[in-house]
Amino acid sequence: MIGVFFKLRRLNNMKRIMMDKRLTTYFSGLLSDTEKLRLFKDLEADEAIMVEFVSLQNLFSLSKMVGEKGDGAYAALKFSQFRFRTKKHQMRRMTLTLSKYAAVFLLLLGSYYMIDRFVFEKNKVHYTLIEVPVGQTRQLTLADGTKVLLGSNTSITVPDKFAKDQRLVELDGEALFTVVEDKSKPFIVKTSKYNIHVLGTKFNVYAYAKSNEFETSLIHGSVCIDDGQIDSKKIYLKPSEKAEMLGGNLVKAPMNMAEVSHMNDGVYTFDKETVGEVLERLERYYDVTFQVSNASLLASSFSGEFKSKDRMEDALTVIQQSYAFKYKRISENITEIY
Amino acid sequence: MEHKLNFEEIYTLYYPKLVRFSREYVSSIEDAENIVQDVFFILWQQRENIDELRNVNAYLFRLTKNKCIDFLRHKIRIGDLHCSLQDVEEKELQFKMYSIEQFDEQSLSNEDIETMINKAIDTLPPKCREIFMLSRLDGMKYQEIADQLKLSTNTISNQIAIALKKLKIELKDFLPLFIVFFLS
Repeated sequence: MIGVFFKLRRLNNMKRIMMDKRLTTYFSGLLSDTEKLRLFKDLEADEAIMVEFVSLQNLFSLSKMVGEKGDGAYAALKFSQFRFRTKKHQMRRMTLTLSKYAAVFLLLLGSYYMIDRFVFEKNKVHYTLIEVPVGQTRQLTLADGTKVLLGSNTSITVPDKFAKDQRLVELDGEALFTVVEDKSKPFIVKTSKYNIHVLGTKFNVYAYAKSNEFETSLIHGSVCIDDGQIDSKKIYLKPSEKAEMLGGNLVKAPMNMAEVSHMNDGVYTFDKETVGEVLERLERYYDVTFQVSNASLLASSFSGEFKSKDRMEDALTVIQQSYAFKYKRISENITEIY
Repeated sequence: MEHKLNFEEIYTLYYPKLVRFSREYVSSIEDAENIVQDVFFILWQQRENIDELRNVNAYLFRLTKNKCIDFLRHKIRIGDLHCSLQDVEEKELQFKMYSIEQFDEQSLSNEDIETMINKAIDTLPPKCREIFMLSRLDGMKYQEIADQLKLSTNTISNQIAIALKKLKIELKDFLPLFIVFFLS
């Protein structure tokens, strides 16, 4: 009995040693595939050999932890690769953070735009163009209380609400302004030739885009006229002065109240003006063109009155009382004088 | 010994060792390098808390171990899916995975692992140590060691067996005493 036990134990030991040898050979990488497969089958069948295998495997792995020559250089090389990776990572994080901020910013900008565009659309300034037909006048009161009397064949562009820093209107024609004073918001009349800057004042503007003439007559208050250029020459008017075009330049002259009275009473008064000037006014007033072949007629002096209700023919008849000439209507807008 | 290592010092100290350690399980040097770079990337993301890690040793080992297990599991599954692994290869991967699962990094003290292993190897008789170092660390075949030391291959394999037996005792804390469950 005891003998059998010892024999068994020796056999077990023999098996152990044999197994150890196979395992060490395996870990030395010297086992063939078929030998490996047989070893693996034995591992699955015997827990003791399995424990041995795992112990050896982990022992060998641990033994690899001992430092080797060249570890320093190897680690340095790999560390530089590692740094590259972390830098890339940081860059990506930074880009991500930045794009988050950018996205939020764009979103806010977009919302602002949408709100501005659609919700507060009533804040947008709308312009109204008012056109006065030939031979008529119109009285207009602007948002700030300023009164404008528009002459014949005149158009004006006004906003339904003035800007914060100025009150701007655009005029083509003749108009008498009575501007309500507001020092924080200068009133500006823009014409095709000059801009008139006003605080609170009453003045008449004659500025048809089609005409070479420009005239601003100041009744009271003060105005400043420039041509809209940055370094333009400015002309300041005092009451009863007017600014008019003379040979392409704007000059100051004394103002005759009768010249602007027609805006109020509908009577045009001319006092020793040339027929050329009178015809020019009539052209603008009736929106016609006169073709004059008689040069001496144009230079002749004329004094007289027209009523705003007069037809063009009536007006020409008034001049014919001073000078003999004939006229012929060639088309609706062109009349020949000879 | 109380000097706290900064990130680069930790990297330089552990990277080559962890790569060699992982390679024992994942077999390819490239895979081992990638695994350990990933491990250090995780440590790098925690770099503000490095000082609070009481046991960097165990932390790095745990990360490396888990990464290796993930890698092997994935490789086995892909092999199953594509039937690209031979029977012997698949079995080997399973045993490798099983072995590293049994590795107990919790027993690692904060003491440098290298010091610990060197201590264990130092307990070996001089001849035995020399043969073990040549075979394991320099990767020499038994025949080559036998030729170099002018000994028989039989002596070499006996000496290796003695060395392993002793080291197993010295490093028993990290090695399994018994198997908790068995492979199906």
